[in-house]
Amino acid sequence: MSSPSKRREMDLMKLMMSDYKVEMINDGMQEFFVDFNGPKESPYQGGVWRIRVELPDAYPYKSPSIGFINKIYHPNVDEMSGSVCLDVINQTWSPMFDLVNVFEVFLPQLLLYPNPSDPLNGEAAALMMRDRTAYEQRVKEFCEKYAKPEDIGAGQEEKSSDEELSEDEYASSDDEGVAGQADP
Amino acid sequence: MDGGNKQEPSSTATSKQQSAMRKTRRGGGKQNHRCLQIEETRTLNNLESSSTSPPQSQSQSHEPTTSAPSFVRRRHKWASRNPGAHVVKPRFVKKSELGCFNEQVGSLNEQVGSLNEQVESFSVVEREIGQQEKKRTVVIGDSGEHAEVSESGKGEEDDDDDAVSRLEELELGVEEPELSEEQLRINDQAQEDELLAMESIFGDNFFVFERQRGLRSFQIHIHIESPGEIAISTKLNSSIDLKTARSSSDDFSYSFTVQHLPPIMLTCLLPKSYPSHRPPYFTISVQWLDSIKISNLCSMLDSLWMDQQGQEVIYQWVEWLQSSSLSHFGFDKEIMLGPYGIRDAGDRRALTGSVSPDADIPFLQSYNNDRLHENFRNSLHECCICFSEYAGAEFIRLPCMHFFCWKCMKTYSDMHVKESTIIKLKCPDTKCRGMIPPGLLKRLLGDEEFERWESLMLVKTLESMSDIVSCPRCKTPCLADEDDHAQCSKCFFSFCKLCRERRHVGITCMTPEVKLRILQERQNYSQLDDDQKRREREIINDILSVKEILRDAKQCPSCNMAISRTEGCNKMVCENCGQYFCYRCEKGIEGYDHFRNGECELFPQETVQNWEAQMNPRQILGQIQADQAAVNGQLCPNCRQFNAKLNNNNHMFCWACQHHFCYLCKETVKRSSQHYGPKGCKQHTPG
Repeated sequence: MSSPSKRREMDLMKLMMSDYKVEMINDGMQEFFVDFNGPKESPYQGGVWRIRVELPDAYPYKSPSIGFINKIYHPNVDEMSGSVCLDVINQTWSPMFDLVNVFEVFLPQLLLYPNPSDPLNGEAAALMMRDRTAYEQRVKEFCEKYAKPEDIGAGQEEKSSDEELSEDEYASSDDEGVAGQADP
Repeated sequence: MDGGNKQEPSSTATSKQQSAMRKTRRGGGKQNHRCLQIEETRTLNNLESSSTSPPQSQSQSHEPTTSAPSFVRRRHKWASRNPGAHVVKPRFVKKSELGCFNEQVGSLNEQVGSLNEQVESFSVVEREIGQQEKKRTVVIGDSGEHAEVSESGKGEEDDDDDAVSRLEELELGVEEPELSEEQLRINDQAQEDELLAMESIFGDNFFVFERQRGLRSFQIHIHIESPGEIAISTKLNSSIDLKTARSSSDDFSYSFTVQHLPPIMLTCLLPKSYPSHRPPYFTISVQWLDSIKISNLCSMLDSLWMDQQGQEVIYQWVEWLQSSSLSHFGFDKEIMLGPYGIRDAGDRRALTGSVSPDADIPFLQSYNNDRLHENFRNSLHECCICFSEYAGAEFIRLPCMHFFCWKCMKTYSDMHVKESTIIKLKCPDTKCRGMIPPGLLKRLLGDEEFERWESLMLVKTLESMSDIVSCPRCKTPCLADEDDHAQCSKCFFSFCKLCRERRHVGITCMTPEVKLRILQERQNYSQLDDDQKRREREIINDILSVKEILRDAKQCPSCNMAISRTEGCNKMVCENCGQYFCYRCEKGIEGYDHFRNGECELFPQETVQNWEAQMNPRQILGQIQADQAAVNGQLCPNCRQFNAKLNNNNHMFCWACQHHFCYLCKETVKRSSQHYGPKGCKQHTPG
């Protein structure tokens, strides 16, 4: 049918027109990457995340799948896989929502107001409830480590393993500072 | 409005004149049709046939054609120039006699009742018509479903009969002056020209009747257009008292606005002596004006004729009625309906349909809605789901007034029914989520899928009712009382709601374990026949399955769906029926209050412990050390957590945020080999 692809095209175009950097994965307009900035006035400010969007065949009647490629510390995002628990994506999707809605409204809202009662990342949820300041610190930390503009595009695996190694090394020897920890 | 051609001399209608008329026509772009129309008129005029509609326009060919012997309306003129559109004509209450006017409220209600009946019978006719149409677009109006309003022949005929009979009446009473042949011919030509001009100007709203005894007659629908909305209000008297036309202080006033008013119908019969000596015989018909006001309008037309006798006057009349009739009554800002219950003015030319506010208000509103709807149907709109553009006729409008194209609605409905997520099958508008009427769903889904929808809906509704159980024997839904006892109305089986066995007064239900044991023992009885054995075997399997399921799951208090919690907190929402409940105590809840007032914990102990364990043990140690050794330590520059200095080492590693910093200078350390050394801070110092 021609009409679904028109809708997809429109949505993609609208997304691009709203100054989002969109990178197609294949030519079928099914999957693509979008670079998403952390919302202002949240601890996620300044962080940049690459988000993978997959539009199902039945789009717009079915919701798109959203996943964070690089790590983010958030109660409703699974740290390992990057999958997002967002009710409007899963439960209350309507064919009238579009991608711009997702990136302009839903994701920023989720980052600004996490929902600790339904967490994918339990530790983050617990920390947020117990000690808000520490939680925000940790968020910023993760942004520093994983959500810098240069982090987008490069894979994340080798980085994290570096970090862990260096920490362990440090634990064993007091004297030697470990080279190159904070700036990879 | 250009009125250039109203003074056409009675010359023969040459093609030049035709083109002149075409130019002065209002509106644009449909010239070819019009040409054709004029030709046909001439031909038909010449033939003087009494045939019904030639198959001209695709939309009107199925209209019920009644044959009134005295005249036959030119059906094709009714045909709208827009293919597929319908001309909306107002419907009148047939009034046999204006004079006998019953003031009792009761009989007024009766008349309203008969109007409703008429409306209903029209709807039936229209529905039948609608089904023959190829385009399956029935739009839901403000009161349930009905096919779009198209004119229904029956009512119109009556009203026009009325008008025409009045005209006859008027004509018979008057003696025609004797005129010369020449004069008659001049008049005849003038009339012909005028009719042609009117037709080209008014197009769809101009209807020529069959000649009556050689006299021309026609009807014009005069639409009062206004740029914005038209306000209408009326006083609703509690009683109608003719003698004292009082307006007591406790009258209610009802106001509303419309964008389209039902037209003024001017019906004319041209005598042979028009335009030289006599004016046309005319009647004015307005559904919503009372007879005195209409009579007033008639007088106005009379005076317009008087001002310039001997010249064509119809255009002037129409012009005046269209532009000045409202202001003539002082209705520029707002139209006041009524007064009701007044005696008829006695003017035979004034035809009113105004009976009571009960009939007029709905009539005006429904006419307005129909016109708005017609406009919608004829224009292009973009569907907000698929962004394709279609004519309004391809859209479906829901009762909440949101509209989407047919294709999208069908895809949407099909998908949800197929996946049994009918609870989500509501208006796609993000904020609205209004209901979709079942009748519409039936047309969208088709019979088979609609049946599926119905059964899903039934099951869902029944399950959400906690006191409805299905009879174990015949499966019909039964109502249970507070003792959990139910009796099936179909097979009269009396059973216990909880264990679904025969009713047991005073004895508690047999537990599944006991039942299982009994049944398993029975499997060994040789007295059981194979059938019975098999059935009981199945029951055993069922019980075992449920037992297995309930090992890891709990049941929703509302619909009993087994739900198992894999992670997260104790606040659960049942996917099947939407009920919120607490996983720990299986009670139905609303919000988080249940967890706040100390009944149950939000996160189970196990989960909390897991989180703690996940946290870096070194972190915890560091935190503990920081708490205890409050002597030597510093706040981390990054997260401001207190860190204890250990082993005289000035190089601090923050337990909270894993930040490296120097105890002495309190700055972040990037490379310790650079920071500490002879030039920088000392790494090990006591204290």
